Parts: sequence; C-alpha cells; structure tokens
Amino acid sequence: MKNKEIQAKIVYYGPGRGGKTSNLEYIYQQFRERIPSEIVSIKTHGDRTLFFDYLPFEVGKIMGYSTRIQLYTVPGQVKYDATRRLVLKGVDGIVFVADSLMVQRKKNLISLKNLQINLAAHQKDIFRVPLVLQYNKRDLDELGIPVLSLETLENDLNRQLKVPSFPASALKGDNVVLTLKKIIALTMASFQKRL
Amino acid sequence: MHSERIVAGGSDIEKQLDDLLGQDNPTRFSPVDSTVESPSESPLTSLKSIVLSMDWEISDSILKEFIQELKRLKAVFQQDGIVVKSLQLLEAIGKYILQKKSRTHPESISLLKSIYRDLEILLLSKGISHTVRRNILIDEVAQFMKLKKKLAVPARPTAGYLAGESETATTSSDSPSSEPPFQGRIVSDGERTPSLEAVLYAIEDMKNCIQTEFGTLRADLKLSRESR
Repeated sequence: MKNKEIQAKIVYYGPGRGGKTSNLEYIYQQFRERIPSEIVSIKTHGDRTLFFDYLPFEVGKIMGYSTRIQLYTVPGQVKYDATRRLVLKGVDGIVFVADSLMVQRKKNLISLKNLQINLAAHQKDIFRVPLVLQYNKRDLDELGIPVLSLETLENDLNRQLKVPSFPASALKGDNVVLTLKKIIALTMASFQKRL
Repeated sequence: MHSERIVAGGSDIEKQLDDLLGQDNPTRFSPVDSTVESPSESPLTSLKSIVLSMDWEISDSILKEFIQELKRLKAVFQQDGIVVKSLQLLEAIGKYILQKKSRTHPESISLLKSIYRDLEILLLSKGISHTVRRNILIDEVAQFMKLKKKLAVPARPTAGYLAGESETATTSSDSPSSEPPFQGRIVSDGERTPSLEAVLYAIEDMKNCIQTEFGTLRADLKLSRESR
C-alpha cells in the first residue's frame, strides 16, 4: 500500500482440473477493458497449468484507494507443490476452487489441507487469511453427472473454516464475479483492519 | 483462535465493488448460507458432520467432539435401549482411536462408519419394526466383538506378526521395546506391501529366532557331549 494505491495478491487454489484457470479466463472476458495485458499462462502439452496464470486487474477506487488486484492461479497437480508454495508468497486473499465432481471429493480435502500447510510455510494461518470457497462445476448436475451435494461440500471443507462459499460454474460464468467480489471485499476489509 | 476471521467485507466496500464491477447476473445457483440451520435437521446432524469430517482428518479435538456428541445423544435417547447401545459402541471405538491414535487398527474406522450408518437407519427410518432394529444391533455387536477379538490377539505371535494384529486395546504392559514398530497395519492379506519398518522388524525377529535356535542347539550339543 503506497500513495493511496493498494495492490492485492489474490490466489486461486484448489485441486487439478478444478476450474481455477477457467475462473481467470471468464474474468478476463468480462473485464477485458480493465486488464492492461493478456492473461499470462504457462501450460504443458495437455493444457494443464505448469507454473501459474497471472492476471493484473484494475478495479478502481475502493475506500479512496486506487485498487489493483493481481490474480494468480496455482498448478493443481500434486507434483507441483513447490510452485504452489512459491505462488502463495505475499498472498492477501485466497479463493479455494473445489471440484463438485463426486469422484474428486478426496482431492478437494487433500488440496485444502495442502493449502493450510503451504500457508503455514509463509507464517499464515488458514483460519485468518481472507478466504472464499467456490464449489465449481455445479452445472454438471444438470447433465446427470454425479456431483457432491452442497451439504457434503460444506461439511467436508467449510465445517471448521466457516468462510463465505458459493456454488459456481466457471465455464458458464455463474457466480464467478460474485466470488471475485467477495474475496476482494474480504481482502480490502483485512487491509482496513490493519490500517 | 478463529475469532479474527473476517467473513464479511463491509457493506460499503461491497457496494463500491458492485458499482465498479457491476451487479451480478441472475444465477441458477443460490449462494450457500452456512449460518442458517435447515429446519428439517435431524438429531444426528452434528454427529454426521463430525463423522464426515473424519474423511479429512482424525484429530484429538475431532474425536473429543465426537465422544461429547455421543454423550449428548445418549441423554437425549435414554429411553431407547437399542439406540443407546449403538451410541455406546461408537463411544467405545472413538475412545479406542483417541487412545491408540495412528496405531489404531484400520478396521476400527470402517466399523465406526458402518455403525454410524446403522444408527441413521435406527433413528431416521420410518416404520422400522422392533425385530429389524434388534437385528441391526445384534449385527453391530457381532462386528464389534469380531474387532475386539482381533485386537486381543497376544503381541508378537510367532507366525502372525506381519498381520499387525498384535495391538491390543487392553494391553497394560505397553513397554516401547516390546512393541513391533508397525502395530496396527494390515499387510498379511496381500493387499498391501509391508513397510520398510515391517521388513526391518521381520529381519530382526528372524535374527532373534535363529540366535535362540542356535543357543538351544549349542545347549543340546553340550549336553550330548557331557553324556558321552
């Protein structure tokens, strides 16, 4: 925070193929005019995020401060843990993108636990950092694909955290902006508290 | 510890964000409101939530919460002997896991979940007859006794140590040196590969066995020489 300007780093975290990059792509489509550059994305041959996606985003004036948000994703695959830890350095707010697919239940749990461990490596507490949960891929339910109930997801992931959570479809854009607004609001409130 | 959590961004900030980023499009999915309790909550809601959370983590605090909730339910259902007995079985398993921690027999977790599922049937199924309820309880008790029997196998049986079933819930002389380092792990059924610890333990055990055998042979030879 300097010269009435705030820069906040928000990281989209979650299991592989959960929809983190899809969230950023939707935001990029929606707010292209506020985004000074192309979405930076380094992918493997299989179109998986290799290092991270990066999206700088001018929000405008909030609380009298020009607010610039840097959105990042992490690679979700288990093997890229060192990268995930690196991307979390200096994080101000986190969106945990959980996969609603029934078969991904365990991966959500492992990834959330991994987030807790990697935050601790940066002396941050998962119970204090601004955090929003997004239950992605809800649209698959309409296609008859087995998805976890919201009750199960809440019990699994949010029973202890008790943070705001949203069902969403990153591909179709449902609740993507709502999730973004919520994490920005929590992050700004956290800044405000520290002032 | 968690009181510093910020869960609301402040209406002024959220309003500014609405102005800056626009109002949300109508969505097919309503936001989840975890603070509002469902009116159709069952008496098992809290217990179910704890049991589900065990898929993620089984910590001391979760187990203590589990046992506490069982005590509460026992008081609520004190007139229903079958339910109370089921709750007692769950409590016994919970206390055993709390005591043994990572050395818990793996079947104890699955039995705990199985008894919980039965408890849901006992409490939430409509029109279930007393005979069916009693049979469910009999089956639960049989499963519990089966596990208890497995846990009661004496430590370090001569051929069964790889089964990892030498852990006993009632062992009183738990001197660290007498315990195999891999107690509680099942590896004998071919489904799992023995851990390094298990292999090292097996080698050590074989060495001890060979040394004992040689000692006996030496003593026999000595006796036989002396008798000549």
